[in-house]
Amino acid sequence: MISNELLKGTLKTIVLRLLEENGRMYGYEMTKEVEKLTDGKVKITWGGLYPTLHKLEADHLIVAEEVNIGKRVRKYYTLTESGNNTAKEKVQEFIDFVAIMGQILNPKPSLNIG
Amino acid sequence: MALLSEKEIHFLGTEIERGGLTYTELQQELLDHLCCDVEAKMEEGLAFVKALEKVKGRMEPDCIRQIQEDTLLLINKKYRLMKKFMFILGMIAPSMLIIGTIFKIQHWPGAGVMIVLSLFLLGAIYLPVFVSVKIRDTRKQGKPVNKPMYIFGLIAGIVFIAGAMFKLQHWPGAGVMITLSGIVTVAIFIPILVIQAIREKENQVQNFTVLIFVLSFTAIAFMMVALRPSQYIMDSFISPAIENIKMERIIEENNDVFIDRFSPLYSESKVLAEKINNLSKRTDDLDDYISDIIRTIIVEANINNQEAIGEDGSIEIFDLVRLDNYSSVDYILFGDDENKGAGDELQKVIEDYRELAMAAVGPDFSHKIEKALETNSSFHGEMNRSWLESYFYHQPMIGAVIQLTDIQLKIRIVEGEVLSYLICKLP
Repeated sequence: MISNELLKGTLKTIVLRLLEENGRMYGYEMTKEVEKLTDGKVKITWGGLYPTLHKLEADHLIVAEEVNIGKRVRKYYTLTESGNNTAKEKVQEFIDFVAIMGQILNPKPSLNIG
Repeated sequence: MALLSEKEIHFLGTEIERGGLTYTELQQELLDHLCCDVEAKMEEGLAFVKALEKVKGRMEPDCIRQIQEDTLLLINKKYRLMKKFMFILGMIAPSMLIIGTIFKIQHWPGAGVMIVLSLFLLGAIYLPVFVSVKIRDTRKQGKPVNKPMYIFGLIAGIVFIAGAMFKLQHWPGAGVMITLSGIVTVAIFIPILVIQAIREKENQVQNFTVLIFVLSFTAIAFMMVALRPSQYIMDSFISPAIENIKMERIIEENNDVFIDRFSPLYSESKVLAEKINNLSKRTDDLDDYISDIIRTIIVEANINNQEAIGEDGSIEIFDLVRLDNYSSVDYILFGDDENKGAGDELQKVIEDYRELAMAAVGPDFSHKIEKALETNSSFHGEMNRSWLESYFYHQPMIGAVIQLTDIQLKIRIVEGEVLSYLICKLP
């Protein structure tokens, strides 16, 4: 399990990446998809997900579309054009971040023989 | 995939509402999420109640309300900033206005800047921000927004504040703005406020307080207009001004006739001729200078007074309006932060003329001239006020016109006296 503390700053990137890959998704679907991709190691709570979705919507990075499912309404999200660009930037930024963190956390064995 | 029945969905809906969710944008979405969760458990073979229990067991207490709070916090950052900005501005602008007013009363520099800036902040920024925050608050509470109330309130407020600012800065159009805002307030804004106060049950105390304050301020504003001296009293000041102008003309004509008649006699003496011509020219210059000041003051009192001025510069006193306006006299003669008044210059040119006239006559005669045109003592022997202050400060426009035409009359009398003195000395 990955702690929520670590996930906090990455949620935006995860959501944007998911939408970039899958096109149109709704909230519950996203949590399941992440669970599936990480073999259940990462669980996104709705407490983190929905505020992020609404913030992205307010920033015009994603748009929502309401669809009636049986007796209830489901909100599907898709990336906007600027959202698409931001998704690419964010993902690249995060990949760079992981690489740099890797340098800190597993330093390559030093070649300098003192 | 098992789909929940309408009844079960409704049950989950009330469950979410009980969790404290009021933000409608989230309601549907969280309901769908909860439904999906429960359905997934039911897929595993659990009954609805058991499935729900399991899902709820994984949920943190109070998490629904937390989601709502987080969401609102994230998407409403701008609004929160706006509100904070409004509170800070609401403290700064009135404080600055009060300090500016104190400076103005004390005649310290910087009063004008502070007053204009604070009124601008109040009218152009605070009021619109307040209205937009208030409208958003009302909408968020799901209540209808009384648009006309906000629109007309905003118009009346902005126009009134702009009018006050223009008035203080002696910019044209202040009167029209204040009248317009008064009309909008009385004819439109107050009736809307009354209706709103009666209709709305929740904020009655607040609404009535606002209403009472608006009414009181309107009443005070009207009272101040009504307290202006009666037109009849002001009219009684007209005749002295007219008399002064009439007398001055008579004496001026006399002096001209005098000069015409005696010029063949004194033109032989070059020194004397120059003296007389110089005196006559200086008298005309001073007369014109004072006339200029009078015209500036009456136009400052009201722009319509332009029409009371004839093509030759003469003033039809009967046609003047706003005889009681005293700020025009203060502004023209004593100035404000930005402009130096013409008062000191006026006193100086009168004194220069007095010196000239006194030098032209012998010592036995000069003290009479000194007395006629004295600028040392103050009215009623007020020790701490200068001649200029005691005769002009806070005087109504018509009062200043009387004083100034009186000075014009006096210099014509002095001119005549000096002329006759000089000509009597002719061999």
